[in-house]
Amino acid sequence: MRGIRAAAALAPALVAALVAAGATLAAPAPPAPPSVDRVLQLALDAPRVIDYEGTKIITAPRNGRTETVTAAEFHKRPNMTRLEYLSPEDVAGRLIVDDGATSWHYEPRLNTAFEGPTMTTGLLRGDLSLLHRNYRVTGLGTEEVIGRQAYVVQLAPNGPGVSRELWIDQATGTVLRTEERDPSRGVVLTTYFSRISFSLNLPTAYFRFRLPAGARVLHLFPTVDEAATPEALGRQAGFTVLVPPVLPEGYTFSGGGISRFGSLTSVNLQYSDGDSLLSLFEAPAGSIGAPAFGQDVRVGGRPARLVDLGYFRVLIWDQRGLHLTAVGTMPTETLLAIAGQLLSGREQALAHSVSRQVAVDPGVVDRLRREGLTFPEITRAVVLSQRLGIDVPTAVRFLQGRLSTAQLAQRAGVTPATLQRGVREALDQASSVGPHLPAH
Amino acid sequence: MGRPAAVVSMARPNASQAVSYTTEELARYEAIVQRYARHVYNVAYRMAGNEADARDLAQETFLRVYRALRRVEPDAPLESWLYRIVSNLYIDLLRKRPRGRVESLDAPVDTPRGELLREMPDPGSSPEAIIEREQLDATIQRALGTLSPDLRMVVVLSDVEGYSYEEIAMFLRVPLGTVKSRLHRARQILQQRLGRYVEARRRGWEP
Amino acid sequence: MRLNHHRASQLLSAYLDRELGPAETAAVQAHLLDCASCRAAYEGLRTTKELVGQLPVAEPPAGFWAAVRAPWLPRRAGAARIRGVFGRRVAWASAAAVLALALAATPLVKGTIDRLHASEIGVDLYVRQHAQAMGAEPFTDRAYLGLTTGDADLVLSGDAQPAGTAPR
Repeated sequence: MRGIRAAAALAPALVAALVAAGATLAAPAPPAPPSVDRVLQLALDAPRVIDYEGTKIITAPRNGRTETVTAAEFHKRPNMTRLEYLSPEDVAGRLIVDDGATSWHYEPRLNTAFEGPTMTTGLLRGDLSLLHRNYRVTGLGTEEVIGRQAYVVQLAPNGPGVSRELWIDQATGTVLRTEERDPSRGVVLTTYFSRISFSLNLPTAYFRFRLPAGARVLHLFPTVDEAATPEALGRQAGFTVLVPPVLPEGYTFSGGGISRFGSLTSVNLQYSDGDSLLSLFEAPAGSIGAPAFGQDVRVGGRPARLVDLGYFRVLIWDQRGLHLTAVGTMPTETLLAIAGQLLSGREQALAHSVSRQVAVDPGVVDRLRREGLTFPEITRAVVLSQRLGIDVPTAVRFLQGRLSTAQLAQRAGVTPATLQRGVREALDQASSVGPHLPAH
Repeated sequence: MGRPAAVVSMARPNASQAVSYTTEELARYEAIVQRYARHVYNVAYRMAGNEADARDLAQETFLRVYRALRRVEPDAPLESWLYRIVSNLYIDLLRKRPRGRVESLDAPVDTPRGELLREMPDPGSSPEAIIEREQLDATIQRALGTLSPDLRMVVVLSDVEGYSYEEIAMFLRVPLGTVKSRLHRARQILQQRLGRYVEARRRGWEP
Repeated sequence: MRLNHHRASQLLSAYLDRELGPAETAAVQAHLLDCASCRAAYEGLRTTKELVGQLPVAEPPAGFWAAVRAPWLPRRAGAARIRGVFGRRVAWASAAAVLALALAATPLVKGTIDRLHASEIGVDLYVRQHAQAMGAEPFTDRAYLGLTTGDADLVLSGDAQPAGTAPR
């Protein structure tokens, strides 16, 4: 079934066009499916244009085993959410109301409400460039989900990592079903609507939390002093912070803050690859110990603790007076690789090495790293700029496909054929530098 | 969307009787917890001298409040009742516990060296000062532990919680004169056990 | 009113606590002016009262608030400390209840308690924050994020076991 879908990815447009041209008359031709990018954009825009109400089934690791959880999900445009958990028994009655600014979680069993920051910021974000850089986005055709036609889109990471498939409703762009697949353990998360109804206007009252009589309220706003840059975070933390601009496998700094919980102060750094997120928490080494659970692993020859929660993985280690905790959904090996590089200061070593090998100012390498480029990408861009006599940013734009060969040829003042030869030579040369550096 | 129900079921697994309270009653219980739990725990801790027993005592006390919730008059002061429960529970606990655990009245109380005391300026200013402060607290707590439960309860209610003789007499259902004499006796014993600290403080080594 | 030495020395504590009537107070004051040993004894009692009075308010341990606030709930089985004194299990939940409450009101919690228990709830705290942050990624499932943060909330409030301790 997967093969059929994959084969159907591009062909239908052509087939449809041919059929339409060849047909003498009769039935109007089915519209050509939009490009994958258009479908993703449709999904991204959907929350802003439509309200819905449905029953969602989640199958995911929980409490050490795979559980199926049912919830009634309500969405009001642009970014309000209401979730009523129905089963299993231990979550039945749980209510989450998020008005786009504040999220309330109410637990009737304890008559307790937890107030925290909104979980819906992603609904208003529209930038897919990071995702395109780190994922192969493939259209897998269309399928029927609960009686509705849906585009199937696969997001597969360029490196090892979790891939995701989305079933996107043709009519509304709403994601009807998702599947996350971990290379080492198969499908780790499935969510789908078993029933959904769309509306143009759900009552706002659904999305306002009313505190039940006598309920206890716990305020859980652990993140304060949102700081935009890694440097600002370092200044505000009050202790020396390790802030790598980028992490391996394309994770780029996407935000952070200082988190205070009781007297535990930690710096929270977020790195995104466009679809998946890695959080790095740093606290002074003495302020928190390793948990009593999890398994002992080694990072760079030093002891570390890995807590595998089935979906989330947590890696904890100490480094130069800091207690570091990395949380993400990527494979354990990726997490260990990231920790190892942080521990060895390999980032600095690699940056230095690349700048030496391709004879470019270290500042240029550092700047490109902060823009999210990998070392091979930087090497290629620098070599290309040197070979063609163009500036580095132009080379980057060309390598990222934002500049066509013709446009580049025009800027470099050569014929496209000459340019293509030059590009191939430059890339060949760059591959001998690449990430295979003497740092091993 | 009819949640939450007005009446929350309080089925307690393995409990013989399940209690159902209205949300108003639960709110009243929560208010009692808010108002008294910290004090009850504190008294329990100073009586028992350790966290585990203090927690048991305080939790058991509130379980009794919870069970008797319908019989508790709204807004009635509960100190008297609560401290009596704590006191009785503590005496129960001593009775059930093997004798060996009870500290001897003659057990010496260790005191830190004098020069440490001199270096104890503003508590909280340095890690050392905090550690010394905690050592002193532990020493005072151990001294309290050498008192008989009757004497200890009076000191805790008077000097830790700050109640008047009259209130203490009411809480413990003893005559006023008994409170007076127990407290005096308790302080004399404590002074003896804390001799070096008392002396250091009197000489102004410590603010 | 005049007091002999023995009687006066017996009243020193009550004098210190201002629990004497006006006549007795005046009489003890008069005796103190005359009697050096009673003055010394009075100073000793006063200092002792001060020492005891400056004991900090004891901070309830892990899980105390959750257990007291919801006495009808069964206690965490694996975490029971003792069974016996009162014929039932007593909770040993995480300290997070205290931490969460400290956030709710004022930061009352002493650093030592935080340090002891931060490691126990740290994973849940961080996973919760990570899940919250995942809300910023466009294609994450919010119902699943809600489930995860909700479960972590329960640990942070002392009502559930830390994530990594669940039976496998």
